[in-house]
Amino acid sequence: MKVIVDHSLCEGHGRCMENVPEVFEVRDDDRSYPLMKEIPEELRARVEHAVTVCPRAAIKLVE
Amino acid sequence: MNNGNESLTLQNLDITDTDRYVRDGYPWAAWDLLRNEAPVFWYQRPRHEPFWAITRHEDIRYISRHPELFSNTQILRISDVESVRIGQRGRVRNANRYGGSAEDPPDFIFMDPPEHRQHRGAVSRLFTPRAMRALETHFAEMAENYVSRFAKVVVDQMTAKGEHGVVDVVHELSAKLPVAAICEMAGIPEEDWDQIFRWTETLVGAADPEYRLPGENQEQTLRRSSGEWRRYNENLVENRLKTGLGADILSTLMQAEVDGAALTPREISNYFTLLVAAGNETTRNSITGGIKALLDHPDQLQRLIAEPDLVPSAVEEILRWTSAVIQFQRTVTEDLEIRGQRIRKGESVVMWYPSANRDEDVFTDPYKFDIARDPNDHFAFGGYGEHFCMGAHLARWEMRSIFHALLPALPKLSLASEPELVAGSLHVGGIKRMMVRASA
Repeated sequence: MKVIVDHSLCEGHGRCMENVPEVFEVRDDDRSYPLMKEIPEELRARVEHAVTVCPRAAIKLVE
Repeated sequence: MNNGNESLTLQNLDITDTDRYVRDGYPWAAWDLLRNEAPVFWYQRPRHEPFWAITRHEDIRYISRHPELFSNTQILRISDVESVRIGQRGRVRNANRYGGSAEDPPDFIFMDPPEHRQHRGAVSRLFTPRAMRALETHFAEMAENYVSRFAKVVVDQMTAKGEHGVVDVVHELSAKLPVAAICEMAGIPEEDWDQIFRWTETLVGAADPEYRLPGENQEQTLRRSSGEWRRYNENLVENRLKTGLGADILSTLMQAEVDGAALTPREISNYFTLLVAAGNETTRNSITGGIKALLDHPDQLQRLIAEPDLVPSAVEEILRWTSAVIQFQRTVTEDLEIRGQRIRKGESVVMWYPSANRDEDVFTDPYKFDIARDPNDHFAFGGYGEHFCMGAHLARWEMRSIFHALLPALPKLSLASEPELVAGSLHVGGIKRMMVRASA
């Protein structure tokens, strides 16, 4: 499982980083970056939640 | 017609009659009925084009995530047919003034991706959480200042008139910080802020006779005030060209490029209008609504005073509770189904945000005002997706600052009147005044 953040949408609202700081980092350019290439299965539920609460719907999960 | 004696049914409910909003407030019971019995409801009433009324949180979430299926380029919000005609004539005049076509999007909310992202991106950096955090201390100082001035007005009234001394929260407090903050960001000189507020009131409230000059109709009021505003706006642009560009919103628009081309004068003017108006209109109503909510729920107010760390959470609950923005509309781009209802290409769907914010599937005990509610994924800033409110963090910081500063004074206030809604508005539940007095 991978995550993709669409930088044409992301404005650095930071809900992903609040929810899963191991996986998302909002940097000084106001964009969120995934910190892992492959997301471990035990983080799935929290990453799915981050997808749901992103205010711009900018995050996608790819199996 | 439902006159209060007759029971509410899908046939007689009404969510578009603005006179009822003014008289009875938001139609919560009608939204509850729709959500529970007909969440995708073909709504046909006199004076309105028919539309699909969407009232559940989950469905609004779906629509907001799919701008390719639900377009912003046609009509953005429902209003009565007369207001729609006035709007169309305004678009023609705007095109005559600036060039282009009346079919051009008035501002970037009327765009779909990819254009929407490029145009919004021209200014969105000014409104990010990081940009707002940098202003946190400044907002706090301004809020303290406005709250102490408000407190002084209340005390003066009480001294002068005793128990008859009442003060309008909207003009004496709620409007102050939102106007000041967006005007500062916009680079508008302080001596003009009161005038900016009056233009906003008039442009948003022209359907309400209170904001018209004697003898004017709605359209004449709109033409007059938008003409005054645009002349002011053009002077600001000329001044920037003389004195040099800064980091403010107007300068940013003037320097912006989309696909290597500068924005046109029409785009600059319309985007600036959108940001200044949207930046002070909705937050004012949320602040007023929040003051009422806290005064109506003294247990929650006492808890907030005891635990001021709950202010950010209380602000989210105030946003949910107040739901200042009533609806936005989308046009369906292909035949599709929502909850088994066939919806055809070209038909309208209207998302009723206050209804989503009372959805029992998402919010436990939705009619309970709970300043510690968690989670609280309200749609006060619209559904999550392409068009989520760009000013959400500005609004949050303004509200946190104001409520933080106002908390100690709140228990000494009581409502002297219910909030009075601006007539004729089906987009924002604008509160024109709400009187308070100092408690004995």
